[in-house]
Amino acid sequence: MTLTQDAVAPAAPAAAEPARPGRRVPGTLIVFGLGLTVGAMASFVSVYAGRNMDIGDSMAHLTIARRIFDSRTPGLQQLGTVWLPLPHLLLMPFIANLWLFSTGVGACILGSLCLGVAAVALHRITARLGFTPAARTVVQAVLLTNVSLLYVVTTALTEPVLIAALTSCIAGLAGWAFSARRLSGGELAVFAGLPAAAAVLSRYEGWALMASGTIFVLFVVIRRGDGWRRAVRLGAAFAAPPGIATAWWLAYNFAWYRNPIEFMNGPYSSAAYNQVLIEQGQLTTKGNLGLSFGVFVQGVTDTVGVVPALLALFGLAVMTLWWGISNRALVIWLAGTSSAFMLLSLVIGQNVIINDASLPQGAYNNRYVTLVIPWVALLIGLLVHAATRNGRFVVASVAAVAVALVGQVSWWGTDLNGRLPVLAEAHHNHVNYAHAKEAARWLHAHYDGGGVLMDETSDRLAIAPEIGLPGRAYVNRAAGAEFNQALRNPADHVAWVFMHTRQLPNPATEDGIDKVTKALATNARFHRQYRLVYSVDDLGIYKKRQVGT
Amino acid sequence: MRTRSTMTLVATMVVALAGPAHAADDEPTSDAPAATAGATANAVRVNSEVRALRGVESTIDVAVPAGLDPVRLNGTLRIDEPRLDAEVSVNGIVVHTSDGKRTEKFTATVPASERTEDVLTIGVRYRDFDGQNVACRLLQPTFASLTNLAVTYRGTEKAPTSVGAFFPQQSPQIVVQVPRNADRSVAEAGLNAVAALSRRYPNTTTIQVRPQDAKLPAFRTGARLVRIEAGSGPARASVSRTGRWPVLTVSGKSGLSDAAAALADPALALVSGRTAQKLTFSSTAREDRRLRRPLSDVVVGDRLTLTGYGTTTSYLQIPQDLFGESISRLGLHLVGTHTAVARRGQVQLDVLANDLLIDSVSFDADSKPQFTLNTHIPSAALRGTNALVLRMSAVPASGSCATDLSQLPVEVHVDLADSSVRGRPGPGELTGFTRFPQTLKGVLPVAIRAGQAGFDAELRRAAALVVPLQRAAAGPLAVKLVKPDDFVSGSESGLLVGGSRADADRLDAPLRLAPAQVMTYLDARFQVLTNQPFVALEAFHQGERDVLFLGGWKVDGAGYGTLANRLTSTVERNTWETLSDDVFVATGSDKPFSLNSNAVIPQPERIDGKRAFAKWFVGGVAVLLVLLGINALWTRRRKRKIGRLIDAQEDAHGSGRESDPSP
Repeated sequence: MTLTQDAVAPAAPAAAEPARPGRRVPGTLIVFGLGLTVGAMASFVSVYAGRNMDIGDSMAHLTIARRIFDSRTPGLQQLGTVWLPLPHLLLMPFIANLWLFSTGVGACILGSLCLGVAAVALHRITARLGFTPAARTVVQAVLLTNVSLLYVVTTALTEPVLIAALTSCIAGLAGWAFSARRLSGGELAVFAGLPAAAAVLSRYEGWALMASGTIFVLFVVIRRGDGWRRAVRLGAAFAAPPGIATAWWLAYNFAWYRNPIEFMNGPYSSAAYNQVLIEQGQLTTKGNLGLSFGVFVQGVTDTVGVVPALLALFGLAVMTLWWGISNRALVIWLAGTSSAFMLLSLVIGQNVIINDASLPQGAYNNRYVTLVIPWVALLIGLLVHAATRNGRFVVASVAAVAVALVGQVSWWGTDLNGRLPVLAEAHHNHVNYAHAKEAARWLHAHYDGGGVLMDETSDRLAIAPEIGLPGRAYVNRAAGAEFNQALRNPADHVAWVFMHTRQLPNPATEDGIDKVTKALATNARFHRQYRLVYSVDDLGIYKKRQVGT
Repeated sequence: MRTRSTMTLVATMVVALAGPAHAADDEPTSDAPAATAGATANAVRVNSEVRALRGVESTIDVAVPAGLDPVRLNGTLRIDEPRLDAEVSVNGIVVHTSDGKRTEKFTATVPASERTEDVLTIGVRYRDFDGQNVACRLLQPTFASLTNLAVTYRGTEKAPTSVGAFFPQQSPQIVVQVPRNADRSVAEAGLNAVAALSRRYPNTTTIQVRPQDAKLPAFRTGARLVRIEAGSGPARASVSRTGRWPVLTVSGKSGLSDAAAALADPALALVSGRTAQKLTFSSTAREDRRLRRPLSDVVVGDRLTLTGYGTTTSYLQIPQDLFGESISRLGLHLVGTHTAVARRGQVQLDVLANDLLIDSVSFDADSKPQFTLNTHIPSAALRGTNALVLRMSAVPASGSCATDLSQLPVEVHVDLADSSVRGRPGPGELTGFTRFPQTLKGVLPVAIRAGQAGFDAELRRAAALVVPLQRAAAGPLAVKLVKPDDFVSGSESGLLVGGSRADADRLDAPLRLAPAQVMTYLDARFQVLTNQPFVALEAFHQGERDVLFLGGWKVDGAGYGTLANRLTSTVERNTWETLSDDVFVATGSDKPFSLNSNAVIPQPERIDGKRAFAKWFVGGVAVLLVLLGINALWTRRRKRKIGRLIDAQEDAHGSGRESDPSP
């Protein structure tokens, strides 16, 4: 006599292991194509509307990536320490062409590829978890209809790369955990460790994933009864690639700045920026769990949508009740790593998100919350899986989620800038940068050769893509010694100067000061040598006078 | 169809005609002669601006107070097009012609023939107003306007002798007197009287609440005194005099607030006796505040016609309060008729809302004369008071704007009865002061925390805030006085005056009554708030309601009073629409100014108040742990069940079977 599943079916649904598919997961290519297509469509809309470079950081990322091979001092040192390096390195091939750089289309290509990768990763995760086809479809739908995410993939921001890396890592871990055979440490390192390394080199949320992924590996191995020795060995195998990536980053910092944690405490670090916020009394989430949680929840409901967020919350409850802390549940919990990190970083004051729940209110950095979307998608997928696993309620479940998503997207669509903080921030910048971009376009149209002295770090001047000149033309902070020489004697170095005509009264940080303005705005010799050929608002473009003029 | 019946008042009056039975009521309370009041040669301001579009003459009727002869007219004439002549007329007689300046102050003599008239019709127009020599109108609408109008009278104003004639058409000042430390019903009636009079008179009329024993200001022609007193029986009103001040005393025990609210009712003019008894406010016949309103409700005049080649424009104002509550969308249904368009002629009708083009339709030779246009103002573009512009652009068949007598006329008529505006109820996206008064839904609860300043002083400030609120409202506001603690713990939108630090904390006000620092990047004029004593009027959303809150920090006694009076009188002098953002602040060293609370560095009181939200996080974690516990119990039961089945199998077959029940 053999025990059947029915015979042992418990009162509550059990956390039985899913079917163990092989390495190949049917539909992978189709899903990748779908993600790529949706990303391409979003890119078309965003570029056509002129919105893909509205967030200031987006242009900064494009500029950094290009400086690595096109600047007065090209090289890896141009990666700097403000941001982790991988997104810039990945951008490089896509912006080698000046048109792809100046239009931001290169970033759209990378973002769309990342969306395709994220869609595939979620597809493979759901396959490993044994989700029903209806549930898998819903997971894709939640991911690919999120307007905030679709906007973000059209920019050069770091979120698309991170989401692709995070979901790929989790897919690798799920593949390893539910594999029909015991995979080796090497295979674990390749399929999960390398994406984790990519995440580690993309954003600091990746470092949290390295930790949670390692714990997951230990948990699964111990639970299998393979013993601590194997658990440690496999944990090390997983952690090795991201660990090496971390070490490389520390070494890079040490090599260029003689400080392995320059990215943490250097003048361009987020800590330095946060210190200004602390002094201004604006980092209000620090040490305040209630406010931090409120800001996080507001960010999730704004960015994911109220209905999807509620469905995900319900899915979380169902998952906990149904799967407890089984391996399957842990896989989905892994997708929540970035959420936990985000909440923690708000509480410890390492991150700033400003929305309607924050003090002060506004719209800033809500794009971080797009990292929650894969987790939300999986939780909603689990809910649909629970409803449809017996082959019933398939149409009803999918239809209900479809109605919810269509309703949510329609509601967003009637007022994108008002209802989506990510778009609101972009719109705010669109308005705020209007004059700077106008000046950039003027310079592009009238440029006739020679160097351009400008401090791109200062307010609204990180607009190199809009200017659209080869990087070698700029003499900026990234040019190192030549920048300082040009500040002392611009006529020997540049034909153009693009600066604020008056210094900002209260820049956000000391580095927000326009050094060119500081050196030249009241310099009589400069004004004899250069004439103001274009000005708008507080920005001016100066051109070196020809002899005799 | 939804109807709302808030805040329409109908005064039902039993008029006591002068006669022996009421002789006592008719006695003036002053020993001054009843027939005379006021001084000679008084200049009285006219409360309205007169604005004429080129091609149209605009007029205003000014009632001449009894006993006075108008002799002079002063004002400011402003013209958009100085190259054209503009004329000011009195009863159709031109008394002044522009002198080529954009803005000029003028003094004109009222023609002797018109000095005995009861009404002066003052008009302004461009001289070419008949349009005979202009084939096409200018693209930009061109106005001529009269402001700061004042009529100087000679003679002595006759004091009113009846309730119906008590309130003049224009008045520079009305004082509402209430007893010191008045009881709730009297104070509430005082505020309702202020609201009613604010509805009756525009903001050139000063309306104040003063204690009965306080010194009255200097009398000016047209000024009036309304006295609210406790009494017995139903509320009644009687006319008398105090010194040179005509007095209307509203007294009684029951229905005092209703009687005070009835002061704005046009029906009051029908009361011909010195006394009116049983002045009541009918709650059953309140003004209709439907969500769908015919366009005739918002159009001044009885027609809306756009005529002539070139561009002609018509302006409408649609306050959200017209619909009796906040709206999230404003629909427009336009029905009209246009003249036939010649074969090569072009006519286009554009609809703009708050400077945003929301719809456009063109008419051609094949168009039927009747047209219908349905459009809406999107939520993000809605304001408290919405400016709707209908703009017709017409090009004649010849394509030329030169005078051509062969051109057929072009006109668009809008049917005011069939056209309508429709509000969709909803919170909308307005914030701060712009959410008022529509969020009140016609009822204004006022809570007064007397504190150190005393009840009378706070009542006066409350009145100063009621005035602009009522003037911004489309319908009458029913003011009700509530206890401050009830208000703070309640859920009604309303006004709290004299709020304490604890009130601000409990209401989660955006600017707490505590040291405040303004963001350093802001303009220096805002920095005066930093760590300085202040009094603030705040408008904010709390829970499901909107709150107006007046309170101060580190200002005691007279200091608080000075700042609070400066702030409230500034609000009272201006219109509610001039308040922007969500905080209006007065500090010791500067004029009151509007500020976005986001520009204030979050105060520790606000930040700490958010800590309580952590309970939701802890609660969520607890729920997950409970669910995890339930899962563990189920898993254990399942393992036992499997174990028992395996044991049974082993018993049956004599051999074991390994099972890994772990997930």
